[in-house]
Amino acid sequence: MVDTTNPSDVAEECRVFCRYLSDRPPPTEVLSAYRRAHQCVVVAADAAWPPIDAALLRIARLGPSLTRAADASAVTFAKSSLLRRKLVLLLAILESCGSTIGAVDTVVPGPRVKWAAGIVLNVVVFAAALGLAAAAVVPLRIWYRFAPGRRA
Amino acid sequence: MRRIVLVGSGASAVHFALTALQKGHEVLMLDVGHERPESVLPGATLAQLRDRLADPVAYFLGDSFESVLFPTQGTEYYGFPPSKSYIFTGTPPQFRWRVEGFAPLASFARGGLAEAWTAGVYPFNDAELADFPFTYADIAPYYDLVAERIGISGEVDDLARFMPVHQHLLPPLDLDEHSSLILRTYAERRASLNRRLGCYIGRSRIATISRDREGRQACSYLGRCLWGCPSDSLYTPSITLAECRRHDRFRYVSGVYVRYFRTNAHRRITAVVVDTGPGKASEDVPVDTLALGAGTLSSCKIFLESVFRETGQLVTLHGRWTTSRS
Repeated sequence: MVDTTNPSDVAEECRVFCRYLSDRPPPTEVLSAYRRAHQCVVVAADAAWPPIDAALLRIARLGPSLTRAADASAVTFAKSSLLRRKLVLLLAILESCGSTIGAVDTVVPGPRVKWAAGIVLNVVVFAAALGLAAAAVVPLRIWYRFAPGRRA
Repeated sequence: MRRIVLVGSGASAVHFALTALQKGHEVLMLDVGHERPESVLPGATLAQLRDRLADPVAYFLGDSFESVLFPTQGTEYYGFPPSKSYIFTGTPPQFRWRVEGFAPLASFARGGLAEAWTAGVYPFNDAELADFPFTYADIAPYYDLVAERIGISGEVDDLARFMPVHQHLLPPLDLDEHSSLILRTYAERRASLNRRLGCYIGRSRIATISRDREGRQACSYLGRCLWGCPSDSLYTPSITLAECRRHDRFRYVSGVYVRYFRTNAHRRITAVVVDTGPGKASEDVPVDTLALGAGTLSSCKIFLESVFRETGQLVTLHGRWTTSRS
């Protein structure tokens, strides 16, 4: 779990998630806003979050590819998880800044075939990420549900 | 000339006030009336706001990120930008509710709930008015008058079969690329879509002006409708309120909360009882003629609480809706 009182933890998490969402590192204003949000407790790590959320978050923080896998799992099985909240927050910040809006909200011109191919590719990547995530997360869910002293 | 006390400043109230003023009456408007904050960088487009504001994140998401809508299970995504938060905050402590089966929205802003609307404006048709004691034809002149006052842009097109056409339509707004493509494609396949699918497409009718008029600028496509139009191209009741305030016989008093009205032995309304602030005693404002324009919930509360105080009667609708002593 990220220590929300530790700025470097939050910054590292922001860098990884930003790479996943926009394919680039976060500019200073995004980093600063992401830190500020953690001080406002909207996404602060909290003992009330289920351990599976913490596990998902740890996986996601390992790198952009694993963020994609964890996100695919979260969007399917845990829509209101802490990871989803953090990604939604970061996306909102990226959409609010002039320096990053283009990376997350851009019209890509081109023929319809290219557009359709892009959709198909996205679906395939999502399915692969979901499969990968399911392989790791489903056993974790079972573990947290049935292991003594754990709660899913 | 009547001296009218009018409660509220929403769409109904301001148009009632304007009509009363035009007929020569005197109007005193009582309102809680939270004010709209000044627009930031009025000439900037939405994209320019992102670049020019010192802290665009605070502007778009709020100082405490209160406008970020987080995913939650089973609840509706419904939020407002920080620049509109004044419309929904500052509910007086005297106004409390308990609801079942619906999610009420109430506003104590100057201009009321319609300060947050997105300007889509369509007359009711006869089918929708079937349970009312009047038809569209009966109220059509009033639609014409309101359209003239607020400025509605649109076009008489295939949607006219569903939405009556009133007078004073301004030329339609420009369409974005996607909408243009949809309308062009529809025009090419119109007969088939109408016949086979019963599909009809047309332009929205929008209370946003496409030409300059009466101190308001035509829409310049800044893209800031949701955040509050800085040029008043998009109509809000506060525009009509400003027009009322230019009349000598109009007085606007904000910062007061109307609780109930008093009646005399002949059941004539003689005064309204208002709270002017925390810790201050309630005051009576004398009334010759009272009009309630405080929105459905507040107007009902004032009326029902007044009835309760006068008669002890708890009025209910279908045995369910009521107001209790506050």
